[in-house]
Amino acid sequence: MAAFPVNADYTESYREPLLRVQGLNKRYARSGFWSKTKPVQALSDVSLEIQSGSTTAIVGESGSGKTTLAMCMAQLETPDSGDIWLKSQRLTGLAAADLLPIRQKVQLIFQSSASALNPRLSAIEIVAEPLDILGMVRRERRRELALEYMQLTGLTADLAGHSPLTLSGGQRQRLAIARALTLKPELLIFDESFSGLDLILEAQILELLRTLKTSCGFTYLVITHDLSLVAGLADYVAVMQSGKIVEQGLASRVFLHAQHPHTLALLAAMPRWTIGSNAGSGA
Amino acid sequence: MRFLLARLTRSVFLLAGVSVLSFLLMQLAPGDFFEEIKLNPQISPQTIAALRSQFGLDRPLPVRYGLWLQSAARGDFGYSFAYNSPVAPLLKTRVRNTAFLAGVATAIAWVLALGIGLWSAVRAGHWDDRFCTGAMSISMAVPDVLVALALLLLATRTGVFPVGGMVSTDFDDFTFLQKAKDIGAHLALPVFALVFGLAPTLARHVRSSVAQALTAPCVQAARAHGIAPARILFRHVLPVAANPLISLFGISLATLLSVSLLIEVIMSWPGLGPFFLEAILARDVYVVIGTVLLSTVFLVAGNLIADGLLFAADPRIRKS
Repeated sequence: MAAFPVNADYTESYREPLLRVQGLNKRYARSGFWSKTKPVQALSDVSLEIQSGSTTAIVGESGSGKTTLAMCMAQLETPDSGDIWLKSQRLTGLAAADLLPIRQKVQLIFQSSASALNPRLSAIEIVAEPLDILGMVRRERRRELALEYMQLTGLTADLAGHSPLTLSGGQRQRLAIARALTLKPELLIFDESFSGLDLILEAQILELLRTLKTSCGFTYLVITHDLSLVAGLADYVAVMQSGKIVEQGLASRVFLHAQHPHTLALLAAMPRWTIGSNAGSGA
Repeated sequence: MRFLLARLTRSVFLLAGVSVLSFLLMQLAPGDFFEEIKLNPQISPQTIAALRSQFGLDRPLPVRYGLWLQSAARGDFGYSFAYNSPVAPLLKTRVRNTAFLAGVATAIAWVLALGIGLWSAVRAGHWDDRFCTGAMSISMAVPDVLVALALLLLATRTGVFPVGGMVSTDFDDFTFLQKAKDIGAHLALPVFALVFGLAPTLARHVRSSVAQALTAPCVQAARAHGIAPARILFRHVLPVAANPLISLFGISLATLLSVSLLIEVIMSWPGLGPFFLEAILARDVYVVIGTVLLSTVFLVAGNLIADGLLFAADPRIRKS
């Protein structure tokens, strides 16, 4: 048995990929008036499939390209080359106007909930804003629906009029999730969304995600540098280093039979167990 | 409300401090208005002594300050030796002219700066952004005096724009439309000189604030929601970028006033600039103090307006 809780329920049977990334490349180059600085290869030939209803984790150290990949998936960054498919629709190369209705299907929850929420709007306005602007439901129903989403994420109705500045970190993160849910996304991306939370808040949010996944069938992509966070959560894990995916597979395989030295180094850095105990355990 | 009251109280103390300092500095400067009169053989030393005594110049400094305070409380702000009149009425017309010039220039500079800065930020890295940034750098490097002199040269050579003054000599005979046109023609060159000096600095600040706001997570989240770019710009980007720009607005009011004094002198605009220069040269102490104090009022008012706007725009300030 493993010395840590690995999600072993997920098996490698084929499921239709919800989002498919193929040979993605992204380079950041910055040129000054006199000179050009060395470009940074943020993504290098990245290929990944996210299956419907699964929880995929992308792990890696800071600067490994995790966030760039997430931004490309959410169409907030344009890759230099490669393709991104959402089900059967190719997203890369789509005109901005054609992309607008598709954007709702992939939602990103940012690391800093404080800066991800407009401080000039109240909690209810933040949640209702996508409904208001996109005109998804009748005007009189919007506030009611926004309140329902707030309550779904564990926020009480009395917080509706509060500014996000007066909410705690956990409440803000719930608010960000509620805002994303209003758009009925098919994929929710959590970009280091738990790194600023204490252990209790982190556990509460993870529990909320599990509940939402069971009740609504969401597909999650969790981006983190903390392997212990995804151990019990992810079905599938991809490990990134210097813009490349160096190892990917079922969470149980990656955690228990890691092959790449970088994955082994990340596992060794986990504070709760040692590589020795992993190696000796089985799937 | 408490926030604004605190700012207002601080402003009153600032004005009191500036009045003491300017009074002290003017009194410490060598000579006074009557030193010049001494050179006139037709005026006897006794008459000069009587005049000095009449204006209280022979009394100790704290007493003179106290007298000036009394006069300020009456609304006179001291007495001009050169004009033989209380200072306040003399300042009134000139302030109006200066405020008109500075107001028009500020409005045009901000409209241009917002347009160019927004465009440049949205198009960051593209050729048009580089062109705007380059043009702004060049115009910032050109001294205001040089711009004003070049415009004067242009005006005298072409004769398209009137040189000096605010209105033509036969202004009273004009119809309303002709009057507006006449003032506009007189206003064009000083306003151009002021806008040329101020707009690039403002535009650079707008560009930088907006470019930073465009990468803010709340703006990225709005983009991810599929909200149209124009809506994102006005509902999310501009409010996020607003704080430094509102503060800059307050400072720009005060800066423009000091720059306009210089432009007024060069272009003979009948505002505070030439009046202030004349008063310094003639050592007309109370006019100088009045003008300095008025400049401080502009500075304080600009910052108070900015504080009020920040208070209204940002809930974080209301909470703190």
